[in-house]
Amino acid sequence: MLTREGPAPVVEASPLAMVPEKMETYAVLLTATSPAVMRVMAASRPVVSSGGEVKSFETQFEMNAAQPEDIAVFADFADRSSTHAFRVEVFLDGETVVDTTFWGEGLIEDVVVVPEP
Amino acid sequence: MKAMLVLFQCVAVAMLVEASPLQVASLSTVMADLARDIGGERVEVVEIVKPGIDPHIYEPTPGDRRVISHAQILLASGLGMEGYLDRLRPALLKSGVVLVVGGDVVKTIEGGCTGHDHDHDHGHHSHGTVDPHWWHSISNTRAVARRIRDAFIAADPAGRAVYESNAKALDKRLAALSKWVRMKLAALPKANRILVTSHDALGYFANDHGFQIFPVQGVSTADQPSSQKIRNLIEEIKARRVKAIFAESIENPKVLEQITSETGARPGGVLYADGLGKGAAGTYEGMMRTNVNTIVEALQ
Repeated sequence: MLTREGPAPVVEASPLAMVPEKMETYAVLLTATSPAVMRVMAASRPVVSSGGEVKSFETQFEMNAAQPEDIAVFADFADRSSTHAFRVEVFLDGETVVDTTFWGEGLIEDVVVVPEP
Repeated sequence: MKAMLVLFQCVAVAMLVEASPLQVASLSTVMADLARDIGGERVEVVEIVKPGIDPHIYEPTPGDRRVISHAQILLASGLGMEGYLDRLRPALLKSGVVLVVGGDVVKTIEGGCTGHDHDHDHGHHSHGTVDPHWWHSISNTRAVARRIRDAFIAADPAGRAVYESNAKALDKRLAALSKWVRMKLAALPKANRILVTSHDALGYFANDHGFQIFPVQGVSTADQPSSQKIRNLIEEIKARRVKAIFAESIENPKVLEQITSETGARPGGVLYADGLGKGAAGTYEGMMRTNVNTIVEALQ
């Protein structure tokens, strides 16, 4: 008990602490070790798809940089038997804000959290 | 002949021991569900606090105390959820009941009843500054599941392989559940991630998934919010264009009706905040999926 961490602050909304909008263009680059049908989704926007199987796919989203959305990513590999790597990079003004790699077989799907500035 | 008789008695006792399941009593519907998953047929779980019962105001009856005294393990949420727990401890010690408290192994946050002041006495239970609803963070639930597994192994070492195997399978399902929640919530814009709830019990969920919480505290008849507080809340809901307001166990529907009619926000449905429900929400995984579906559907 002595080594136990104290409680973290509560996430109760503070009155009138709304985030002002600051729209920016985020670039999302997906790359995989094998060809896959890739899809990207940010909040309630329409899903963007690579259409066919590709090893690399890039798209862009306009998002409020003060409160960027989580991005859901999907890679559906034709080769279901091997383990594949699926890298997700997100850029803002040329700066990398997310760089993460998922591993899996068949369909890899996950969510990347774009950090607030 | 005598040696044969002794051997026969030993085998009979061993069979009897193997046949009688580990007796577990639970003050938490969530922990009871985890215990059933981990224990399988080696464990018999008796729910003292059943789904649908408000654990905040529950007090064990003399009958409950008898059941607890016959258990080998008692499961409790802790962190002040069971205000009577300290009063139970001497009896547990006397009966040799092992107490497993979920709150002892979780990462806590502040809050829980943050919407009202704490100068008054809650009467039946005492929230501290720590939010006792730890199970709304799946990572906490995974930690508690490991604690239950260890307690079962300590009480029933012969079942180690079963408990480890079941706990591993459960952990895998909880990891998948965590991912499912993140995928579902990815469809929800950050600006919409505002939970106006009747009871401030979803702080861990909010913390994990970037929600802000406006508890309509005082909807219980025991703790009425001031009219000024209601007015402020209405202004906040209007300013943020909150789409829906969630009920838990609304004890004063007039307050909710006032807020929905003055803000245009619609009732978003019922969230299971204080434990498991019935039907689809009768298991931990089902409860989490039900809550997330309700939230996404109402706020999208």
